[in-house]
Amino acid sequence: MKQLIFLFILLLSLTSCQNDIDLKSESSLPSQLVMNALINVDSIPNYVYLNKTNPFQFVLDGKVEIRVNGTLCETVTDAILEENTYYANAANYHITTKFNPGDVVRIDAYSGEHHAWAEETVPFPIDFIVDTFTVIRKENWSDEEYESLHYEISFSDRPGESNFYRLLIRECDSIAGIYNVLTETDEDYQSRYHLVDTVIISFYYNIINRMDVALTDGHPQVDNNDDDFLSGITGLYENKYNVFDDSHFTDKNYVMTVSSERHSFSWLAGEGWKTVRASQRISSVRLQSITETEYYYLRALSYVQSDSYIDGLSEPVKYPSNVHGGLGIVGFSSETSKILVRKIK
Amino acid sequence: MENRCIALLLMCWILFSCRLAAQSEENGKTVTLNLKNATLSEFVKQMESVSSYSFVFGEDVKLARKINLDARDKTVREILDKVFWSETVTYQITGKHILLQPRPALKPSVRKYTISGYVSDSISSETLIGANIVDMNGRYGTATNPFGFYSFTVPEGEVQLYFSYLGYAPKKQTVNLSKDTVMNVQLNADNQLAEVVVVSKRAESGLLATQMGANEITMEQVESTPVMLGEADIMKTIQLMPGIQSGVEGSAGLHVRGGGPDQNLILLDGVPVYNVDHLLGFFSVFTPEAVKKVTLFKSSFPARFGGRLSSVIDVRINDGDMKKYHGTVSIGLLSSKLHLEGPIIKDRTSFNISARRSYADFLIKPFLTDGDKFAYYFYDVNAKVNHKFSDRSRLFVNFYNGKDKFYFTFNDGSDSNDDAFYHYRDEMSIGWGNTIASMRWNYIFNNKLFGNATVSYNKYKMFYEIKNDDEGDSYHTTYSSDYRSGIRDYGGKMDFEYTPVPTHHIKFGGEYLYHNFRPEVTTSQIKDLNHNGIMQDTIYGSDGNSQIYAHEASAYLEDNYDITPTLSVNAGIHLSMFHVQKKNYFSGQPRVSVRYQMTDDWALKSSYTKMNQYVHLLTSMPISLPTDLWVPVTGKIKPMRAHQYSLGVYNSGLEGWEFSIESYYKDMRNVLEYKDGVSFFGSSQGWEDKVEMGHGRSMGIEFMAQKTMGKTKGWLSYTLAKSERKFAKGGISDGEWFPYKYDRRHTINLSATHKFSDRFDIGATWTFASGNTMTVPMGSTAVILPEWGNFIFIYNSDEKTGYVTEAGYIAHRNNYRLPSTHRLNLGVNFHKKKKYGIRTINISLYNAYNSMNPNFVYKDYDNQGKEVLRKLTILPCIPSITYTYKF
Repeated sequence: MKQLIFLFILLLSLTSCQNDIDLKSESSLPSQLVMNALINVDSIPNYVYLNKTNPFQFVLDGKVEIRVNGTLCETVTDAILEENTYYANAANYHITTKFNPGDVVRIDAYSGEHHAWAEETVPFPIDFIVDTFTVIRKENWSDEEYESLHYEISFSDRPGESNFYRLLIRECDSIAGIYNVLTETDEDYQSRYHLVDTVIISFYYNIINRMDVALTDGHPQVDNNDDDFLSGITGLYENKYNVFDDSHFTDKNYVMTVSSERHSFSWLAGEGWKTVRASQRISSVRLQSITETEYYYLRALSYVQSDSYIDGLSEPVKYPSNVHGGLGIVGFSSETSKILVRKIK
Repeated sequence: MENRCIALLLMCWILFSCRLAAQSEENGKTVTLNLKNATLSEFVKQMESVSSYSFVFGEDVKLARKINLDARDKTVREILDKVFWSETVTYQITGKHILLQPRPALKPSVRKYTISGYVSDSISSETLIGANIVDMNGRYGTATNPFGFYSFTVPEGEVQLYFSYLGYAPKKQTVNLSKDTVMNVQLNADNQLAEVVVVSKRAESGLLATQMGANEITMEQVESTPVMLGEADIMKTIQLMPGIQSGVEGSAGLHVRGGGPDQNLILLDGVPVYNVDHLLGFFSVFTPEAVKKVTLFKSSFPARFGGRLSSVIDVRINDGDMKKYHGTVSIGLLSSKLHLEGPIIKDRTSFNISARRSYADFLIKPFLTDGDKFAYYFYDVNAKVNHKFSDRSRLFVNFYNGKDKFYFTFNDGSDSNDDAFYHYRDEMSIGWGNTIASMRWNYIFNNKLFGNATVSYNKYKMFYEIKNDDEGDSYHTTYSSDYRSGIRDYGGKMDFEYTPVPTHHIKFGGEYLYHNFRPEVTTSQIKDLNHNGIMQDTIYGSDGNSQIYAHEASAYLEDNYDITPTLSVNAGIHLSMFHVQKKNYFSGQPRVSVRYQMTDDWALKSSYTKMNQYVHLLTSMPISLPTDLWVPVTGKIKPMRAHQYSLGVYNSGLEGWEFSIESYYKDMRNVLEYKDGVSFFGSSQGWEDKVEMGHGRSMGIEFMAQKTMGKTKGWLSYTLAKSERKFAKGGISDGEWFPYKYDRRHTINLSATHKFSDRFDIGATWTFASGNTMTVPMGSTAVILPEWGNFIFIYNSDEKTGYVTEAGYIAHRNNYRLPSTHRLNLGVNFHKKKKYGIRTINISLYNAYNSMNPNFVYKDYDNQGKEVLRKLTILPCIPSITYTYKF
């Protein structure tokens, strides 16, 4: 569909003109406090990010209060400014309160005159069983073989309520041994290598979720290499954060199917290794129960980051928010996880 | 003796004069007279100066209204008919004297009889919808129904009937009524006359109708409205009516009184049409040559209509000429049309067929390389057969098929001499369209009861097919996907019209529709081959393949009741039931309109209507896309309903002009909007969870001045309107009212045509609309990005647990109001009489002064990095020429 629209616009663009309209000054908008947090009750600490709008800035003089079931548990005033990273434009406040499923958590944020708050109930985790098997596939163009690891994740929906979930799969290859590492380049631009005893950890994989009913919102597609496949064929956008609701298996068991693709990584597995002491692939599978707002927020984020989102044609997205008196989102998740370790060649 | 001789001579002279005058009258001596707002005395003076007659009348002879007359080469009798037909004055020509007298009051009569029949075109026998029939004595009137049938009951004795229809010479018939009588009347098309249309109160549109908010769109108006690429378009003429918005500039979309694009019931000969768009909504599917008449209802809906909230557009197709063959050939820049009609059995059976096809695909063909294809086309076919079994019984069979199709095929590969062989082929094809078939049977049970039975079949289908074929030395992969969606409706309905007495006009009937929604069906196949054989051969299907069946039944009853000569009421009720997924929805929808004639020139109307809607259109783009999906209400999503209150004032004091002011307030419940961040874009799966039901309200006031007679015709309208939506607290815009996307505060429409001569006429439309709203990020906010998504490439680094970045801030939906738009369209027609017909060359200039109206708008940054809204104007000044030959 997207191609059709583009072609249509292209055809008409032969006679089209572009003009600009000045946008109203941003200064007319009031400054607001932005509170963002995606809190996982199974990890401590968690982070609350505070920013202000108009002008956009991070908040270092803020205060964050945590109340659990109506009781003030924690007050944080020390902000940590993230530095030396590309996204270092936020100040975060570390919170260490331990939350439990079913807790009603309220987070208040203050900065100067501003006060924003959000309240959510911590969702209950569900258990799951994971099964894996490996399929050897070939690249179309290079004939190079690669491994595709299939995951079958079985779980039961929490009965009697609407539930929202997120699946996280992480794979990493860990190789330990003596490796011929590039250490310097001399004046004549000649590379110098030194044998180093090292461990290289590689996260280089692609999780394919387009075969699953729940993850594609009822539109499973072929296991194809084309990344743009979903958006190109049906206009559906990739569920980048693997969020799903229980509408396809309400109060029932469900078996979710995803696979991973590992791309050829010849330099890592190549001749640079002098000796290899150990090598393994670690898969971490986590199934999170998330709040409804977080579910819709991550869907919106997936959509904006997808190829289906076309400036000018697609309606700009207003991100779901549950923050009162300000902007942002506070999401809670609780999870169960499994670690799978396999030896690799 | 002398006196006797003088008296005898005088009598002889008078007799001689009378004979001369009579001869003059018989010889059809004509006079020319032009009067504006003249009194009776002024009229008499003028008549006496241009004719040899003198008038005789007493003080008791008075006219109700001033005389406006533009008569050229008319006989004295024709002029007198025209001036006095609507007055309580009779005339008698005696010699050289014209005696004027007050019309005698009717003697009370006990017996009443019914006159009924069809009104049709004298040449083609095409029935005329909405022709007016007025009893000159009793001042009662009626209008023909959508099948050209009329019926009304009057006291026995001599009855003078006046038949009139826009563009036709009026006809007066006198009948001595002593029993129920069938009178079929044929009117002569006559564009030379300044049309004298006597509008009856029975018409469903117009100033004298009890209903309000209704407009008749004639094909003359449609064909004389200059439009893009010379493609006369019903929808684009309707857009010029007050209270109608087009949506995207230049498109054929309709947003009526703050309603959505899916809130319009568009009927083709009584059968609902789901998709009325070609070329992504820039043209509509109705070929004007095939259409007889269009009526737009936007306020007091007749009780027989139901199922949509905001408007009813009743499109009626030509029945076909019963007497002789003729047709039209039209060649334009975008498409060509052919229209043919004629008798199959003379005066018994006729056919009417028209077809249109675009030909951009033919024009682009020479520029493509061998094996490659790239094309778009659309076509429409309208066909109708009409058989008259008798004066009482008629059968109509209709067929419509229309389609848009876009497809391409690209090939790529290595040369045959290359060592590494590969070949790549990519095919795509997308098509969508309607097929409608219906059969209707009209039967006159008796002079007071008219019946119409209809059975119909309606199919909307969309498909999207792709196929990829990659072949190399060591592999061969094929992939194919087939996506389909559609709706099938099977329907049957009965309509009756009953006129027991002149003051009551009762309509009743019922309808049943069986819907078969099939929102989405996807089938995909992938096949991998190598030297060892098949590696993979898998067929996938989506779980949206299930069909949704729904039953929709309705019944209605309405009565147009003339309580007094100045007060009439149209009251009715529409009952409906919708059954889907084991859930039943019932609805009683009252409809009331009241009309009060305050003075001869001023009338007041008021109405209340309730409408329910059981289907929704899922679309997330401002333009009409083939992937837009019609879905029925469900257990979760309730039917939409609207209550509309209207009040209007009307004036017809200036002959040839009609003035109206209508105000309205529309309260809509259960209207849908997508939740923040949810896009459908072709997917209906789980749609109930992605929308919010809310509250809508629209209000406005519409001014209209229309000139209906003379060489210059047209209208000027101004609309002041507001339309808003509100959803639950915590939902869209956090429970606050926000403007509807096509909320425009001010709209001005001017449409004018002027006929210089039979060979040359011009048309112009000018529209001005204050800007609609759109959602634009203003300023910045912070969004949190979670851990990495599905694709990861990190080397020797820890995973991040989330970070915050800057993003556009949207305060609320539809937060930005775009600048105003305005556009002038011009058209010139050159007509020439040829040996076998009339040739017309139309030259049109769309957007004549090249106004840079935005078709699409998006946020971007200029060269200095400053945030701007970039507007894309894809419809600048576009000239076009169309050649038409009518034979």
